[in-house]
Amino acid sequence: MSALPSDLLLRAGRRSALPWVIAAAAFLMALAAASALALGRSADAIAANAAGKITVSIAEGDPARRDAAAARALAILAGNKLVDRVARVDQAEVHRLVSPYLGADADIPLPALIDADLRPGVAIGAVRTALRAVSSARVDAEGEALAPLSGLIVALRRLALVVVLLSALVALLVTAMVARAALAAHAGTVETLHGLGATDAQLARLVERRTAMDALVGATLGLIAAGGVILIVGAHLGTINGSTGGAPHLPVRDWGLLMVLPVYLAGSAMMATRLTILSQLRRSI
Amino acid sequence: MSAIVHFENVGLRYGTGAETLSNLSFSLAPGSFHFVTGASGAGKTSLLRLVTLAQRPSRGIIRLFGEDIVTLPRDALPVVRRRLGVVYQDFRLIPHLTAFENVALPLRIMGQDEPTIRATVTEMLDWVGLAPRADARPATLSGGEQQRVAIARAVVARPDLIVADEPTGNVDPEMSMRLFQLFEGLNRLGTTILVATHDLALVARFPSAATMHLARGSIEDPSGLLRYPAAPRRAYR
Repeated sequence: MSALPSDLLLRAGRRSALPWVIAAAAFLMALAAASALALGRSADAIAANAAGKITVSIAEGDPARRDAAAARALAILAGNKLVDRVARVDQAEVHRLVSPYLGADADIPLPALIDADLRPGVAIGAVRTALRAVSSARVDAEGEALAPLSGLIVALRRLALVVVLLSALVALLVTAMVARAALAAHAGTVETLHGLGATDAQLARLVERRTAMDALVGATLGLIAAGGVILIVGAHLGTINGSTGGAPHLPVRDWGLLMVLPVYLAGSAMMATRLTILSQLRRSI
Repeated sequence: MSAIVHFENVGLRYGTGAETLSNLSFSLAPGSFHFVTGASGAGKTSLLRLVTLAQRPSRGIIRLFGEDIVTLPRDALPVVRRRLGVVYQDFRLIPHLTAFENVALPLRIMGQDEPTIRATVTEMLDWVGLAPRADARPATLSGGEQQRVAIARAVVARPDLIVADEPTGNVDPEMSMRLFQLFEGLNRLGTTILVATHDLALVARFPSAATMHLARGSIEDPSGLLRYPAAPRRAYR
C-alpha cells in the first residue's frame, strides 16, 4: 500500500523551531529528573542510615555518677532484646566531637553517649520505658534529628518533579501549537485533500510523523547537553566531598530512565499532534 | 437505477444572512451531462460546494450515490468523496508536488499499491498530453497544463461523478474545447458530468448536455425535467 507524500503538509527542508524548543524542554526535564532521582536516592540513604539508630545521652555533673548511670543503661540495653547492638561512645570521642564548638580546653562536664541499633519492629518508646530506671538518660532517634533535612530533600524532589511535568507540558503545548500552525498554513491543501477523500487520520499522520521525528531529534540533543551538565556537576560535587568516589553519580538504572526521555517526548509529541489535528479537523465538514 | 445526485428542497444560508440557495430540487441520472449556468453570484459555486461535500445544506435533503449526506456521519464522508472527481476553478494543485504526484494523490489516498499508481498515473498524464512534464511542478506549467493536471487528478480514480467549477475560466477557447471533448469522452464511458460555467457560447456547442440555470439562488426548471428526469440515460438530452 502506498502512503501519501510525507511533505504534503510540512515541506522537506523547512524545519520549524520545534526541535529546538523540544531540546530546551528535554534539557530541563533531564536535569530536573536527574535531580529528582539523585535526591530520592539521598533521601533513601539518609532514611536507611538513620533507621533504627538511637543515641542515649546521660547528662550528670559528676563524672563518677555519669559513668555509673551509663553503665547501668548499658547493662539494661544489653540485657534485653530491644537492640541488636549497643556501645558506649568513648568519652575522648565525645570531647573530639564538641571541641570545634566549645574549644579543645573547655573544662565542662560532658554527657555520656551510648549508640544502639534497634531491632526491627522495636519502637523507641520501648527503650525509653526500659531506661526509666536511669533518670538522667535521654533517648533520641537519629531519624528525628534528621527529619528537617529529610523534609527539605522531599520538598526539593517534589519541586524537581514539578519542573519535569511543567517541561513536558510546555513541550506538548508547543507541539500542539506547531500542529495547529501547520494546519492553518496549509488550510488550502487540507481542504483539497479532504475533497479528494482523505480521512482525518491520513492527514494527521502526515504531520505527526514529522513532529515525532523533530521531537526525537530535539529531545536527543537536549538529553546529550543535560548529560554533559550532569557529569560535570557530579564531578564538582565529588571534588567538594573530597573524593571522586564519593561523588553522587547517577547509577546506570537512572541513566537508563533518562535515555527513555527522547522516546517519551517523541511519542507524546506524536500523540499531541494527532489529537490536535483530529480535533481541529472535526470542526470542518 | 437511482439518481447519482438528488436534491430536495435544499437551502443554503451562510451565517445568519439570507439564503444563498433556495428550494433546490433536482436529480442527476447516472451517465448524464449537465451544465450549471447563471450570472456571477447566482449560486453556482455554492451549489457545487454542496455536491462536492465541501458544505452541508441549511435545510433539505441531499443524496449522493444514494447516501443521505445530510445525516451521514462525518467519518463516512471520505468514502463518498472518493467517488467524486472535482476540477476546481483555481485547480488547487499542491505547489510543491510534481504533476505526477498531484495526479497520484487520489490513488494514494485510496491506498493503492505503488506499481498500480505508477501505471495509472503515467497513462493518465499521457492521456492529457503531459507525460513529458510528469516531473514538473505546477509553478513551471502553463495555465492550460495545470488545468490538464487538475483534470487528470479528478479522473484518475475513475470517479462516478465529475464536478467542474468554471473549468474554462483560465484557458483559451481552443483549450476549452479540448477540455470539454475530454469530458465528453469520459461521459461516453459512463461518468456523470456536472459543469458550472457562465460561458453560454460554450454550452451552446454541446447541445446534448442538459442545462440547469441558476438565478438568485434558485433553479429555473419550468419543465420539471431536472426535478423528475427521465430514467434512461440521456433520455432528455
